[in-house]
Amino acid sequence: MQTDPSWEDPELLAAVAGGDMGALRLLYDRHAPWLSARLTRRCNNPETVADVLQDTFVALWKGAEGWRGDGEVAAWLWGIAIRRLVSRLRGRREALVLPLEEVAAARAPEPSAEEMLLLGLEYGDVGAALQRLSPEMRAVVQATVLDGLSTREAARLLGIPANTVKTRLHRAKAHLRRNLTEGMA
Amino acid sequence: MKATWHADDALLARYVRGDAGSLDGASLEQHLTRCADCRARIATHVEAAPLAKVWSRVREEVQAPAPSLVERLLTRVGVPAPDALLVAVAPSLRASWLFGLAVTLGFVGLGAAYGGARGLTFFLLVAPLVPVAGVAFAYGPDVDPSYEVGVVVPYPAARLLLLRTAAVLATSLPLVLVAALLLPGMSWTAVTWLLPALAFTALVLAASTWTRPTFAAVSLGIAWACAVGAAALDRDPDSVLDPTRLLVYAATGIVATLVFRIRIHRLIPVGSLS
Repeated sequence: MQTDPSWEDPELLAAVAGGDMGALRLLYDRHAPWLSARLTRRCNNPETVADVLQDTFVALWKGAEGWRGDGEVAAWLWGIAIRRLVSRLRGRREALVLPLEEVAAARAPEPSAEEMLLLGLEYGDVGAALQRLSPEMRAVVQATVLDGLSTREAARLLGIPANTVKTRLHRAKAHLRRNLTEGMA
Repeated sequence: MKATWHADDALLARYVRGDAGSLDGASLEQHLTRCADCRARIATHVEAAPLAKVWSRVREEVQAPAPSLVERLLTRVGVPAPDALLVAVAPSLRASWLFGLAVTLGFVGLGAAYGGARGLTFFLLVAPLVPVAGVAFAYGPDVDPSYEVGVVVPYPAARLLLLRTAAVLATSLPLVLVAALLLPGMSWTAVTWLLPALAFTALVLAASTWTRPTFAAVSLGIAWACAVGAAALDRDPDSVLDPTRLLVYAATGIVATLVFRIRIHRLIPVGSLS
């Protein structure tokens, strides 16, 4: 089977699941640059970023059939990458490795409150409201809502207790809600 | 959902540099997960060399064969991974070799169970040569598929040979020892055969600094078979293990070990002799 550069991501992913290295290469060329840039914004050690990038595509090779076939492949890849980053930052010994199914399940198809928030972030006023949050709260919102991490994972990434993540997120959401409703009024 | 806007190159450049503010950055990130065009354009702002390096690592990891059982076992007990690989690819540690060894020992056991003296002869003929054959087949151009790799890779051949010898002894000696202890009426023979076995192993190691280990092992095997055969014709096969001969084996073993230690640096290209 010959892979074609014109193929969409899901087709390439299916080819990777069938053991096609050429398809993996195409996916790498498409997604490694932005993944690398996005990871670099969360971890300033280039070597760790390179390791995470490697982990991500090796995981993709091994678990391509774990993709459920809906949503964006890019979002799914980011879900893997950010979790690999979390486990790398924690050290290899107690690495938090989530099976890919869980990553897939985390991207539920029905639009949640978070996803509405994301849409608002790209098109609306949520960004401005987000800007007004304190840096600590913004970090929590970024890790949980934007990066799609669980409370526990976000706690590991940010190096703070899980309960702190919960309270900060709670307060941040309250802030955002208040700011947004003020803006609409 | 189609995006209604696209990031301009200035924003992409700032983002990659890490200069985009948290709002622009977060906004762009949400956009990137949905927009293939902007993902493709950001690639021109990201350094290509580190990405190429990561890709070669990914390809290497993805294409590497899974480590064998022996290899995983060795790394588990603390042998460094490259050493474990080189030890594990030794032909004498393959399943086929171990299977052959088990079958041979089974025949020896059967022979011993049926006829006392004949079984003993059979055992004496085979047992001391088992580790020797293992060592000979652990290394060398005749048998090792990774031999050329071993010769051209800057890895000490002596270290490789010793590691593999240790592995061969560790796998074959216990098997033969169990067989010996199961034989009826063996008494001391069940233990004393270890001395010629170790002496022969040392001899093959020493000889491998001059010639191919397989050649040395075959010569030694023929000599040993003649000695055991002669003793059997005298109706006293045990005599190959009488105290004076045991002393000779011990002395031979020590001398061979010393010779091997002195000449160890000559091991490198055995193949160049042929």
